[in-house]
Amino acid sequence: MSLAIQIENLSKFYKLKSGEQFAALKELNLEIQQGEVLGLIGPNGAGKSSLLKILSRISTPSSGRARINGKLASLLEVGTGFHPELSGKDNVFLNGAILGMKKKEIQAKYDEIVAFAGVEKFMDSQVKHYSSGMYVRLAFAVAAHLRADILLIDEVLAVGDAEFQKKCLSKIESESQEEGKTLIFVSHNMNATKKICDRVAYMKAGQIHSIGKTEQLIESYLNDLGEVAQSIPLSERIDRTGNAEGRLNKISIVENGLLSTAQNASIQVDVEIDNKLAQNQVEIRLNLASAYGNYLSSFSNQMSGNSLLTSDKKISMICEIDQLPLMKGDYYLNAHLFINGERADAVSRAFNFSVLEGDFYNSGAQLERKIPGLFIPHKWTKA
Amino acid sequence: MESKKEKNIEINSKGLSFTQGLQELIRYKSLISTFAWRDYKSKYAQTKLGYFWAVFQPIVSVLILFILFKKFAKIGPEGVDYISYALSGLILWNYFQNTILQSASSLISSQRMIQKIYFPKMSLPLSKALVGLIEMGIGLLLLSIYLAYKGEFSFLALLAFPLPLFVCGISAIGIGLFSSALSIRFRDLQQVLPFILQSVFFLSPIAYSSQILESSISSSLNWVLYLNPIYGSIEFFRHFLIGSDLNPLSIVSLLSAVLILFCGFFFFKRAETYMADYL
Repeated sequence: MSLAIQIENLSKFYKLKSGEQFAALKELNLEIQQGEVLGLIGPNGAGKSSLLKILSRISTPSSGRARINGKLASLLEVGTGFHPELSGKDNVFLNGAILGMKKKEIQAKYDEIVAFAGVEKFMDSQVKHYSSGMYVRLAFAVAAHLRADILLIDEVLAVGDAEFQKKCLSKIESESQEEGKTLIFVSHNMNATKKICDRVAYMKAGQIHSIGKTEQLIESYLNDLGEVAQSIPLSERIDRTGNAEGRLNKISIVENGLLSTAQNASIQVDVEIDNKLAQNQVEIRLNLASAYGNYLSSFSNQMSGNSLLTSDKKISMICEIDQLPLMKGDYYLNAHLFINGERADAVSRAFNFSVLEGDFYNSGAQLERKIPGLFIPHKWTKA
Repeated sequence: MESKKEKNIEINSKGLSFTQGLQELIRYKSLISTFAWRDYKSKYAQTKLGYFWAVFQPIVSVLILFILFKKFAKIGPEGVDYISYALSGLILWNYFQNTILQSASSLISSQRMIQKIYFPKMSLPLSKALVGLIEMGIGLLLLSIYLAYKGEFSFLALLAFPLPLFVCGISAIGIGLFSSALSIRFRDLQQVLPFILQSVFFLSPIAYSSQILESSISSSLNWVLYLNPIYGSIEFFRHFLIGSDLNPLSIVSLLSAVLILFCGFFFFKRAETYMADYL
C-alpha cells in the first residue's frame, strides 16, 4: 500500500510573549497509509491541532517536512468564513470557494448540501437570522461535500443536536469506507474515535507517544488521564480556566470513599474565594461524564435550588445523591466554580471515581455495559 | 484531471516557492472574484442607498475641491475646466486610496478564517482591487456624462484609460499586499496609513496642477515627485482626457509601480509563512 502522508522530523516552535520558545511539535515522525482512518488522541496541548494545521498548510512548520500524496481538505472548524449579511445560498457558494471548490462543483452538489442541512426553506434568508443550529448544520453540510483524497477532521462533531451529530458521524463513516480515502480524525469523544478509526496515534508533548490498535490505545490514554487526576491533587493542578476569583481546592467522597450503584453518595467540594466583595453568590457545578468522555448529567447547587449567598471565603459544600443511579464503571467530573455568575475556576477531569456494582431496581437483574450509563427509575404496567 | 504534480506537495519550513505560489493563486482565481462579490453584495446589495452613496461621494468631493482650491485658494489650473480636471484625478485617487486601505485591513479582519481554513491568503487583499472597480466605473460614468453635457466627451480618453488604471492599480495592489502583511506584526500601521495617504494626496496633482508642485522644487529633482505612481497615472489620464502636456518623467511612475508590485508580492510571500501564527 502506498503512503498518503509521510511526516519526517516535523517541529513547530512558537515564541511566547515572554520571549521563551515553546515547542508544540518535537521532531515528530508519522506515516499514514492510503485508505486508513487514523484517530489522533491525547491531552490538550499535546500538539494535535498544531499537527493538523501544518498538514492542512494553515501554518508552516519550523523544521522537518511532510509529504502529502493526494488532494487534502481539512475541517478544523465549522462555519468560519460565513458572512452574516449574505443569504444561505450565497454563503454556500462563498464557503465552498474558500474551501477550494469550483463553482461548477458547488452547483452540482447544491441540492444535496441543502438537503443534508435540512434548511431548504431558509436558503434565501440572511444567515444572521438563522438559529445557531441551522447555521452549524449548513456549514457542516458544505464542508462535508468537499471532494478530497485525504480529509482532516478536528472536533467538528461537537456541533449541533444529537440527531445531527449522528448524521455527521455516519457521513464521515461512509466517506471513510470509500475506496482509497484517508481520514485523520481528532476528537475528545472516545466513542466516536472507537467507532470509526482503524488505528490510533496517541500524542503527548508534541510527539507520537504510541501508535496502534484503537481499543488498546484509548484504554491506555484514559488510564493516563486518570493517573494525572489521581497523582496531582486538585489544588496543585495548573490546567485551569476562569477569572481566578476563586479556586476549586478539593473534591472527595464523604465517608469510606467508595461509591456503589443504588447506595446514597455524598461528594464534598472545598472551594476558596479570592475577592474583596462582602458577599458572593457561589455556584459549584460538577459535570458528570463516563470515562469515555460521554457527558451524562450535571450537579449544581444553583440548579437544584440550593443557591448560596455567603460572606465566607472558605466554603465546603456537600452534594448528596440518593440511590446513586450510575452503572458499574469509571467516571469523572469536570468541575466549575461560578462566582456572581462569572466563571471563576474550571478544571477538566477534576475528579475520577469508580462505581461498584449494585442492584438499582431491586430486581436482582444485572445490567453491565462496557461504556456505563445511567439508571432511571421506572416502572411498567399493562395498558 | 489535475496533474499528479499539483496534488503531491511537500510541506516544509520555507513554504511555497514563487512559482508554486503563483500556480496556487491561479488555481484559486475564482476565490478572488468570490471575495470581491461578497464585499460588493454586502456593501451595495444589502443597503438601500448603496449606489446612491457611490454617486453622491465623488460629486461632493469635487465640489469641496472646487470651493477650496479653485474659489478660495485660487490655485486651480488655468484654462481648463476644473470639474473635469479634479474629477479625473479623484477617480484614480479614490480607487488607489480605497484599495490600499481595504487591502491593509483585509487579513486582520479575516483572522479567524486564516487560522482555520487553508486558502491562498493573497486572495484577500487582491480581491479588494476588484471591489474598487465598481466605484471607479461609477466615477467614470459621471465624468463621461459631465463631458458629454459640455460637448467635450472624448472616446480616446476612455480607450486609453487602461494605461493610467494599470499604473494606479498595480501600485495600489503592491502597497496593499505590503501593508496587509506588515500590519499583522505592526497593527499600528492601520492608524498610520491614512496619514501617509493624506500626505501623498497633497503631493499629487489632484486638486491643483502639476506645475505648482514641480515649480516648487528644483527641476533636476522633479523625478522624485514621479516616484509616486499615482502622480504619473493621473498625468497619463489627463493627457488623453484634456490634452495636457505629458511630462516624459511619467515613465518613472510606470517603473515605480511595477517595482512596488514586485516588492509587495515578495514581501507578502515571505510573511505568509508566519501569518497564521501571529494573527
